Amino acid sequence: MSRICLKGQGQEGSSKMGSKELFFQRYADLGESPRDVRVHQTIRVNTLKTTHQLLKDRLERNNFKLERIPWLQDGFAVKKSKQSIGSTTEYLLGHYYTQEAAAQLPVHVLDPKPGDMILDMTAAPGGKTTQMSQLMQNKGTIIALDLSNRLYSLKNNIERMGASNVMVYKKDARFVTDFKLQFDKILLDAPCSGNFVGDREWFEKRTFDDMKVRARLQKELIKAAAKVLKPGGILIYSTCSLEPEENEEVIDFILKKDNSLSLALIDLPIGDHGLPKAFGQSFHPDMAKCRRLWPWKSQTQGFFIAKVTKQ
Amino acid sequence: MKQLQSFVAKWGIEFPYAREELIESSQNVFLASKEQRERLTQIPRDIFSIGLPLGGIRRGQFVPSFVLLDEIAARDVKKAILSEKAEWLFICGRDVFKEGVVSCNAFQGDFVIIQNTRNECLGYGRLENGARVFIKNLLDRGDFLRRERQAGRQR
Repeated sequence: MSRICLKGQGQEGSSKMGSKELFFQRYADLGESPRDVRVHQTIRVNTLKTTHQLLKDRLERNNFKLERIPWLQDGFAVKKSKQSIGSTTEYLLGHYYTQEAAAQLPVHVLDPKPGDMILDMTAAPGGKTTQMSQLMQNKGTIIALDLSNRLYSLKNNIERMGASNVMVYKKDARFVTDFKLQFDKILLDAPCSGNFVGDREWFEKRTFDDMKVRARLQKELIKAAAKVLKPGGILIYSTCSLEPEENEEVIDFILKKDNSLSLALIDLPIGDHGLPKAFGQSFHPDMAKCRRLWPWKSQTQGFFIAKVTKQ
Repeated sequence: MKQLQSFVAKWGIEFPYAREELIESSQNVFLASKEQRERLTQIPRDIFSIGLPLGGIRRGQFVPSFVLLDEIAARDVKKAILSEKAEWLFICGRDVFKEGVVSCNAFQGDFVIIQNTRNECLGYGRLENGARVFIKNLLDRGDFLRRERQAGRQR
């Protein structure tokens, strides 16, 4: 991993606990004006079981106020609620998934189609997996991998949402080459250190060593993904981290390692371009084709998305 | 597999699946498409779930999935339709009292599919016709939330 030093702290500062001031200074050093953000809860309508209008009518009859998110296909913001959005009859019937707005974007960029063969590398608990099933109309196959105890949540969500085209394997995605398969499309929504939106204790919990450890794992995962991507295939790499070590640096790493890979432009009506450089390190010249969501601009949690194609 | 067949037989209906569509794994039974079954022969190891779950063994007993209950509910079986208030109480794990029932075609001792007034399957129970409890709650959709809470405690 390259040396990304904290301003004024040098290498020995890198293991220490982060703080809000330290992280906000990082983001300011990247050209941003960070500030605290509050976001609405959002849901994704499950079109395998209902329609936007039917669900909106039902929830609004129970005193929820929903507002369509214009840059999402099936996303609604919950503007008002008298009860938890996660404990309604409609939720239990699988009519929607509580999924943050930015988190609904990677699957749209991947654009899964009925009949595709898709690899979902770290699938649990299943928000993006079931989103793909929905867009594929339950046709084709999703091979979903995970190792964690959240596999049970993935199985529950598959049942609840009626996602019938998923095969779940308890497998470390770094060893996906064991399957001897190649995939049209791959989603690598990588384990990451997260971001401060929606987690009040994030600043206290996170250390810079966490990020280094995650970045190592992310690089191993993307290496494995590149090996099983078909020529002409699409790999979407995404995280909900704002840190360049887990985002641009990982993409820069794989582009240098495998010259059959290139970045494709992500054309979204929301978010900023990927960073061309961070903390003294310059990245691949095409990094601007990636997408970054800074919470104070997008009013969502933080997110990073890269679209990698293979010749 | 035997427990699945035995559960379906309790409802007096024909078994709705072809044997070759069913995959057993780790005390669970799944409904898998032809494509998935073919794919499974290529990657047989470490399968956790394939297609839709139909049910499995929990604490020594067969527990149906809601996929299976929806399939049963679509057939001509004993059903009880609950009022809106009773619907929510049932989903919270409670038994059903007589005043919560809008209509019911079951008799004492029958297994009965529980539906709301939109004919959506909320779970199933057994008709007791007791002094207090009319229908005993055997499984309700609130189980999804309980499973999540339990999974959270195990992490």
